[in-house]
Amino acid sequence: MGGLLKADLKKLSKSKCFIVCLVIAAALGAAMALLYNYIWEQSGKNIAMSYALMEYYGFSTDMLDEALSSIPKRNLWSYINIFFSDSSIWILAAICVCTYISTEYSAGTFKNTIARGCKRTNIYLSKVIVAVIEIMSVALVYVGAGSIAALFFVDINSDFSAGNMILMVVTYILLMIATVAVYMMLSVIFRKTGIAVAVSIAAPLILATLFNLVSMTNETLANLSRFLLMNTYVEVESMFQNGEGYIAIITALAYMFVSTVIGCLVFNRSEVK
Amino acid sequence: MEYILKTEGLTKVYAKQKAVDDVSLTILPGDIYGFVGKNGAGKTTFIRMILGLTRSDSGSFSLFDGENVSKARKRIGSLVESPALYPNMTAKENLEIFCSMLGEDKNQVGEILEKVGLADTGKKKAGDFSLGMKQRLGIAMALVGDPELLILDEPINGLDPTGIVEIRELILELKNKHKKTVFISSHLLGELEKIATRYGIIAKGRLIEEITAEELEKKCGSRTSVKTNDPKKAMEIIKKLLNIENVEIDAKGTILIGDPVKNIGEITNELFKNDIVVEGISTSDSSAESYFIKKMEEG
Repeated sequence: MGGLLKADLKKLSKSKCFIVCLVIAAALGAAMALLYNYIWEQSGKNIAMSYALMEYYGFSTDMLDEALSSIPKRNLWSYINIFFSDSSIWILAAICVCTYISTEYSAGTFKNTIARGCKRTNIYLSKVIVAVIEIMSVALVYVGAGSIAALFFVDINSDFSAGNMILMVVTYILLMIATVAVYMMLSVIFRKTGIAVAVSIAAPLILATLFNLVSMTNETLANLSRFLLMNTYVEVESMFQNGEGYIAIITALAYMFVSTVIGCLVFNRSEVK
Repeated sequence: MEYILKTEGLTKVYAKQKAVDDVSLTILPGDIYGFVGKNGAGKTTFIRMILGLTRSDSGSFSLFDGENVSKARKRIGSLVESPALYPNMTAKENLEIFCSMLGEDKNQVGEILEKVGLADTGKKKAGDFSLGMKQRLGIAMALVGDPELLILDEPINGLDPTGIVEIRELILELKNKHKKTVFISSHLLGELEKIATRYGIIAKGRLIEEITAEELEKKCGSRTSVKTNDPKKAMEIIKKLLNIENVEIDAKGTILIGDPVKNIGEITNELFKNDIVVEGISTSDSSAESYFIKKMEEG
């Protein structure tokens, strides 16, 4: 397995798609920081205008005060949270992972190692590990570039708990690994780049949207919707604030395990061209 | 070692059609085994089952006297259908990556590239190679790790005449000098004839015949035909004169001598001495190609 990992990492370093994704991630991260800064400023202006209007007409501003207190403070950690829960990075990740696997299928290079007696499980796990490294690199560049851009707009001294922050970062990393495992599973099921990317991007979003719509009328479904992968990203911060961070961790581990097992089984049984 | 590969009743069915139907064959150490069949006969499907790329539906196979299959496959180098290369890497990088995957020493890469004639490709990416160059690189990948059994599926596809000769000589060198066993499937019967020591003829998924090169030579080497006024008497005389049994009379009464005849004059003199009129005598060469085609059509 060591040999397979070494070879896969070497291939990754030579991959044009990977280099391009890193560049796009950097640009995207910086652009997101600018976008959210703009949104925040506009929101601030709208709230200020609402205050002025309410005071002018003699209405109470208690409701506004309550709404304001629930909005997260505009600090670096808020930006980082947004970067992780934003769907654009996951679209990029889907393209990266699916292209990585589908290229091997279309070039037929899996047969080289399988025909030489390398175990299919080892081949698959090596690909998963390298895909995780690939996506973590892309995410690091995305968050890093975005954070650097955000530093121009925020004060880095923030009043959040370092311990909580570390736990949340670990949780985001676990969720990332889980997402990669899901994308890998979809790639070995669908094999062709276009279909794999389309399903990887569309399926979680459609599933989450449908679930969220239906859960408006059903409390049980509303509770279950937290276990959808895309929803979990968005709710990590609130889960930790409510002392339910373990739910996100368990969700990540469950997706990771189940996807890897299914992906392995599919890869083990499939014909290789 | 008793055998390199033995299959028993190996079968693969696709959508109710048997792509490989109950194939039982044996490859012995040191063989150059020519696997012959038309397009769609089942050659590649058979090879894919041996290499673990496709699961068989029934039957079994064993490698290297029954060694564990995963371990045994490490002793096999293969080129199946088209070569599977990383197009954004050079020939050297492709081989080095492959050496890494298999845990093999990268120092062998230079020597392998020399053997297949790709030592001078430099920084050219495999994606820019011609078909023949890609084929050579595929063969090079099969040679990584000095495998004992080489399974080559149409290895000379796309090669120019010089390339065909080079690969043929390489295969012969691997067998004679390095004691490798080679299993080749090919349409180019003329080329196979020059190197194969044994043949397996497959048609519609079934193994029609296994035959050694010597047996093939006997069956379709030179034939002498003799027309006489008394074929039966003439046949006995010829058998006694040449001390052979491989003589028969065809439907038209022509005597067919299957073994090579060095001195035709000797036959005519002996027949004349025994009052037999020789109406005609000729020699023809029947090629292995026509033998194979006939067998494939019969199958």
